[in-house]
Amino acid sequence: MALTDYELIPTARRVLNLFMMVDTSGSMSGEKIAAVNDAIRNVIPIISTINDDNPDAEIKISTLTFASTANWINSTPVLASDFKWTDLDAEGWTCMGDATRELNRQLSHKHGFLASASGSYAPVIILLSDGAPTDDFYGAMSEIMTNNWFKHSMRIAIAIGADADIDVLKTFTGNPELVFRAQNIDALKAVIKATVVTSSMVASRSSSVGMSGTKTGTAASGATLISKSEEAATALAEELDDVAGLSVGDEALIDSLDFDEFD
Amino acid sequence: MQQFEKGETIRLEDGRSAIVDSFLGEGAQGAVYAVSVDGQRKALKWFRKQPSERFLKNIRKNIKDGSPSPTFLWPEALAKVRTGGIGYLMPLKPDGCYEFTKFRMAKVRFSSFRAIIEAAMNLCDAFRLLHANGLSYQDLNDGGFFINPNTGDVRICDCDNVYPHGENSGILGKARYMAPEVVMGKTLPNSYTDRFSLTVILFMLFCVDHPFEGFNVIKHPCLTEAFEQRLFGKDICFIFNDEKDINRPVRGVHRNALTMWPLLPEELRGKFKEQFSDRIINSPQERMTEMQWVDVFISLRDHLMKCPHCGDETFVYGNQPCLNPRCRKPIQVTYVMEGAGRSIPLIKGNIIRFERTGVPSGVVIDKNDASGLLLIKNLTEKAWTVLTPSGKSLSLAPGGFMPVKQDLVISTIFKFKINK
Repeated sequence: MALTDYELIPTARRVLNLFMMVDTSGSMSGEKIAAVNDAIRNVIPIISTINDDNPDAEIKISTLTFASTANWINSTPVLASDFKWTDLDAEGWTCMGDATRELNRQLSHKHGFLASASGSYAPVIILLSDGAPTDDFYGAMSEIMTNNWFKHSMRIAIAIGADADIDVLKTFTGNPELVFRAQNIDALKAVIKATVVTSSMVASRSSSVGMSGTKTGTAASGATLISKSEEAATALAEELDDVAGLSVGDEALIDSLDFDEFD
Repeated sequence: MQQFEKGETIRLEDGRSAIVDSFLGEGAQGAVYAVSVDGQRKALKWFRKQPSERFLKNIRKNIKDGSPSPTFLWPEALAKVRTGGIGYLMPLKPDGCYEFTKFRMAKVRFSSFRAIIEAAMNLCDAFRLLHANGLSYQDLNDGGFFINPNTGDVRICDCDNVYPHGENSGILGKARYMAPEVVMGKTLPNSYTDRFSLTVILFMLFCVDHPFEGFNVIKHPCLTEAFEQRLFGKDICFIFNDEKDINRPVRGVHRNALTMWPLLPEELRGKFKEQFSDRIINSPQERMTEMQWVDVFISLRDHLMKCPHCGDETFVYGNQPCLNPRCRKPIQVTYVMEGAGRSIPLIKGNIIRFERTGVPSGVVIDKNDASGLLLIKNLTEKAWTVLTPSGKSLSLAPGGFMPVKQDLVISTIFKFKINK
């Protein structure tokens, strides 16, 4: 019996759950939903590669759409390498509160999507919306804020167009730097790709400090590690630096100001 | 993102030019291309973001000082383009070497214990030379090297974070590979913390699983950053810690560790247990040096041989049974050769390696008659001086034979005495 006859398995990997919450309300129909479909279709192979080469985490994807109701596209999270995207259609209201409640229900390792023998990393949740909730979003938020999985998750929101409610998205992410506003279709595609790829890369590996030579000042304290949300925010800001029609954080808030109100 | 096309020329700071051949891949910091420089195949790493001046100054110094060992894919020249952007030239990894992460994913496997031991020695030797030059690697983790699964040949990449011991690159490292004192914020990476990370990697070479990932880690359904810092910092516990069983490997999850650990000689297991004990974890300066690790692997190599019963690779210590579960026959050792702190079992077929490089020096064979006497053949190109118990000094020519007999002393670079 040679060494190679002993059975070895891929080293135990923790699961990184990637949740995509996609607004499929009526206002998303047409080129917005087409851009979302196209962007996600293009980003899946990249996530699949990140999954295959990563000894720290296996990436599983769950998609939650919300319009007049909230619906999971798959009944359980799907491994990135097996994930197939089905084009979404857009029609109905914007029940973001329902979606948040549904997310809350599945953010559980006992009764929800997060069961794993080798444990999980804190999930990544990406929320895309072009409007304002038509139901009780803040009520649902106060419920989900007691969910530890949610509290530790990395949350990024993408506001599509000028009508997206930035305050709602800011409440959802808890970090204004992780709210991005895409003003046009190209910016939307770019931000979806960057967000999904960067968050998966950052969240799926063990904590570490930034890229060589770029973080000297921060790390030299030696006292604390940079949090993953912070790291993702920095990496995304660098990645999306020169994308036209994209604004971040305060900039996004300023963009959303209704100047007519000040007349 | 691929930035350069095939055939493009990039000027190097040393005056030479690199011609782009192909795009090899992309990491967090940038892309790597295969290029040719003066007809030689090389690799060119290109940064996505402009690195700091301090970082570039350090790379220039490392280029000037040169590589401490050919095992490192060491920066050879910086390159700049007019449109902005910077990169550096380094050797290309040889064919047949695979990323260590592929071993962890069981996509690539070592073909023998000999290959694992060679890989472990090569890694230790490279870091020994690096540290001897006053440098530290600072970001030692499972993503930094390539290994040939059949020969144990190693290449270490990502050498751009190499800084003098005591100077920090701005990198803390990757959690789970960082020394606990770095995780706890007590110190910045240095050569002592490198040694901790190296021991983690050495364990992984043999066991494929992580030395600190057991029940105590996976019982937390969500490994938050706070837990990660505690479980790999203050509360770090080796999965085979003799005093604490809170973090044992879990059946079905940490299967590789449970499979491989029992196959390893006690000599090696004991070193891992000692190096990952609370005492040594908390005393960075007492961690084993790379040289001491190399000695352990030389000894392991001395005891690794073919089982005379089944022909499989096995470790021979005293009269222990063969590793092969289908053989398990005891392997009788009558004579050993002792010297230079080593003890080499003399059984039929064993190849003796006096030198650290591992080139065969001699082989033990059977006299092939009723006497059952064993002989040693000199496989080197130099004559050996053999001292007999009565005080004679004999010369054993290359290709010559000598008997395995009590108290005979072979004098080459070291002195080895045959003993029962």
